[in-house]
Amino acid sequence: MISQTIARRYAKALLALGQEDGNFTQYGEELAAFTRLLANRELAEALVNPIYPADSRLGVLKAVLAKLKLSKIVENFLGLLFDKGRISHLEAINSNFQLMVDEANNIKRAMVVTAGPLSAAVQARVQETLARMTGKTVILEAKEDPEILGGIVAQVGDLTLDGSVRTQLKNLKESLIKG
Amino acid sequence: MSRGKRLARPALAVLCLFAVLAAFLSFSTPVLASGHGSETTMEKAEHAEEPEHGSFTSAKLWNLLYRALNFLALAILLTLVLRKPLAQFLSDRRRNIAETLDDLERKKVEAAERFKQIEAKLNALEGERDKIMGEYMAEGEEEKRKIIAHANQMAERIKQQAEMSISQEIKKAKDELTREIAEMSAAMAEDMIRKNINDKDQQRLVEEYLEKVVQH
Repeated sequence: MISQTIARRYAKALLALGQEDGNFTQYGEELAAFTRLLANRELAEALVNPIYPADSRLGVLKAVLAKLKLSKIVENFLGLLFDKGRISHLEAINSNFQLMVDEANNIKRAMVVTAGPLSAAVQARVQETLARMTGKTVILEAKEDPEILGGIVAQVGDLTLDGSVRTQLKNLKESLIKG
Repeated sequence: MSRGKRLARPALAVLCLFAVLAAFLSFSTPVLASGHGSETTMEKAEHAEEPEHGSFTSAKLWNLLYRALNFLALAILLTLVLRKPLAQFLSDRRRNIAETLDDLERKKVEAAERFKQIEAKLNALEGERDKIMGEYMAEGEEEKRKIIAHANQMAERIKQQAEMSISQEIKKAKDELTREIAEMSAAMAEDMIRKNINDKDQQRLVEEYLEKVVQH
């Protein structure tokens, strides 16, 4: 909870800077790239673990940033996180920032689960339908799960649409039991 | 003169008369006996010679007279000495007997009275016994009625519980059966879908669902 509060505060600050110069989308992409980089456990240890001297960790950060060639704002932002000892909250900060960027761009991300691959036409139909329902641009993230047997399960924010055959069978079974 | 004394005098006279007669007989017998029993052989010889007539001689008569006088004197002496104590004794004896009779009569009356009281108590006890027995019988009947009522109540409750239990078991079995049928139906349907569904069906299912969502 505390981590979320901190992450939201830093994400909001970066978004404010990005909105001032209109580059918040770019900042979002750079922040996401750096966060993906920290998925490397050794690099994350070298940056976060206090067992290493702060100067050494700062050196590692500067070397990485030099190679990534990020915008000045994002570099300064990451340097600030390091100085304040909040670099360990980077993943949460990135998640919050991406949501804020999407919100600013009027975008909603949808997780769509199907039993098999969807054709491009059906995907477009799903995207269109969800966009109509939410009133926002929808970006689909498709996932396959044979356990749902058939149909589709889509989640957009707090909205969940469950049209899977698995759920229909479950409802049918409950109806039979209840009589 | 007291009544005891009046009675004592004739009695004393009669007693003296009996005493004289007794003395006469007692004395005459030894004399006659000595006349017969103590005869020596010589006398027997004399008697055998002379005829036996008139056995009372003058000496014997005198002897008898002395003895009678002696007895008379003794009787008079005894009468004088014993008259008052004997009369007193007899009077006391009579009074004692009368008192004893009165006492016995009184005791008899008392015993009869006690007998009546005990008889009355026995009769009362019999009534009391009947009353107590009646109360016990009534209590027993009441207790019997309560026990039977309680037993009936318990039997009714057990019957209701058994019926409820049977009803619940039937419902449980029915629910279990329904659940099994539903699960089997769902499993069979799932198997059929898994075997028969193809990509075209998948696309169609998604499109149908989207149609439904849009309509709602």
